[in-house]
Amino acid sequence: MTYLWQKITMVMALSASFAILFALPYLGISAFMVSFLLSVFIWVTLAVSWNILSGYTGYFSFGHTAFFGSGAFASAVADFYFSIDYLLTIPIAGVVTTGMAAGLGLVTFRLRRLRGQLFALTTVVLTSVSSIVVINNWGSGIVMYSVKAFWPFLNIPHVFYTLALLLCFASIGISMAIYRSRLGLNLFAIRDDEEAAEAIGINTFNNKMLAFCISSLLVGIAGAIFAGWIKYVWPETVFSINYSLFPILMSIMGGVGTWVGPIIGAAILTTIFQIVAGGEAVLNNIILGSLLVAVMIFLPHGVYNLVLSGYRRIRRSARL
Amino acid sequence: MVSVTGVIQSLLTGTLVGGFYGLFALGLTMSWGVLDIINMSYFPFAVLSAYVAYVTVTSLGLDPFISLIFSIPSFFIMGILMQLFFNKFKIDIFRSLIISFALFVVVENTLTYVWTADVRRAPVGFLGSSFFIDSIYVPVGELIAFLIGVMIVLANVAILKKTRLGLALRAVAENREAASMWGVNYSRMALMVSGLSMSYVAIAGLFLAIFFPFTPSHGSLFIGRVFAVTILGGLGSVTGAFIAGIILGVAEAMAAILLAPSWSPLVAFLLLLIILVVKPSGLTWR
Repeated sequence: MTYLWQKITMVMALSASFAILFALPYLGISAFMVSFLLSVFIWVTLAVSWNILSGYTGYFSFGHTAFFGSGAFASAVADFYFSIDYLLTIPIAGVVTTGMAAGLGLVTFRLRRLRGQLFALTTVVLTSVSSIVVINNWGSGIVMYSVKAFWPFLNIPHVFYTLALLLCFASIGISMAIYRSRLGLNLFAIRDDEEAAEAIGINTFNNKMLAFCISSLLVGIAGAIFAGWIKYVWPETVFSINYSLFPILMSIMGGVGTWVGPIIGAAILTTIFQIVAGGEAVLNNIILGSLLVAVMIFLPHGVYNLVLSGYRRIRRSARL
Repeated sequence: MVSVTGVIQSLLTGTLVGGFYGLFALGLTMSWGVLDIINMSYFPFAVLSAYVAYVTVTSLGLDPFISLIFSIPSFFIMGILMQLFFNKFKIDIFRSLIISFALFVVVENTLTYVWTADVRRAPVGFLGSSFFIDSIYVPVGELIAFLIGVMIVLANVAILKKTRLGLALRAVAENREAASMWGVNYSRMALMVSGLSMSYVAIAGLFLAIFFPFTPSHGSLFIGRVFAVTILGGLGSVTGAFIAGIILGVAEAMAAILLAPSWSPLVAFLLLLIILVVKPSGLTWR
């Protein structure tokens, strides 16, 4: 009964915040605020999608940069060279990144030894190689033309805001659904002890593959939306290593393996960056790297778990 | 049509460049295979060593090889400090990957802060010269680097096979618990290996400065290749890494003349995937 009640509250809270965020740009908030919120949506999407594979199964991926950049470039190339309508390039980007993930997963998820390490490494290699190939072929970047032409009846910046908002809530919904589903249970079993999971008959390959594909699909779509939003896709921006690093930092900071953690982490970090922004990018990266080291050592279970255990302790002592 | 000279030429260039890849992978394969630490920060640290060589040449007007006198001891000490840090917080292999990745970002951006993102080229004198054998181009510097790489590998093999230290090292790489039961002091050994790996990184950085124009982010260009080489060679195998480097170098050079050069980075990635499918343990030479 209480579980059902919790569920109803959750859904109501999510839909209420969706409605508020959806209406915000029409209530006359500043253009700066709109673009800030848009970037928050994209970061939340990246963190949540990272958590779907890496948080739930413990297979650490550094491949978000590869998927984000390839999504952005798939959209830009489809738009510029094949003049496909922008809205259609979004699913194309999703298909491209899912294909990349499937190819990588097909090889690495079959491994028996060192599977986690080798998976993490191949994602690093994928990031490095995909960015080099894109730089070699489209190094000077691509300008997206047709974006201006689609949906003439809508105000352009709000379109991307709405798309990012939809994607963000879709990822949260998917992540939550997986967390509560059989797939989620299988993924947690893989994280805790993969051999034991296999022994009780879980098809670990299929489960990991599904999680990886969902995760990279979301990132690819995020890349396409980002590409349409900035309209000038340049390898250095979309293949920035930050797209691999930030989601990890956000998820660990918020709490890996919970569905709420990455959202909290993304909200905290984007706000911090907004405050320290204006500083040099190089200095920011130095601070960021040091922060990641500190979080890894002193706060390995994240803010959400810290708050949760504190709350439980208070409740226990109140009952006594 | 590809000519015979062209094939021989790219075989030679591939071998020489591959020797450099192998040299770059030595530190990584040691720390991964023996210490269970995947140290991403070796890439920007190699670039740091390249900058030390650059400063030695441009500001002090000395031969680039002199820079090793400064960089090897300081890199050895940095390796020891890094290992002390990893020991203190009991960093396992996953956290080592993430933490050293964070360190990667810190070091790379510090380099950018100090030396800016401009492309640097160390003037290298006779190392930049070359000669021809029957219309085949042989660069002197790369040849010397290759020979030094071979010497390091041979020295390493000799240490591993002939000395007690080498025996202890092989024992640790095989099974850490069993080795400590037989009286190997693991934490002292770990400091030693970490220092040694960083020294290899210093040497690789020197050759980076000699052969390529470089920027602070140049280390990341080699991530894919070096990891492919490490895994192909078998974790912890120095000889394996060197031979795997040559295989990759030749494969890349062949891809560059047979296909378009702009896609040649994909060769390393495909090679890595093929190894993982066919023989995940690498080609292990011990």
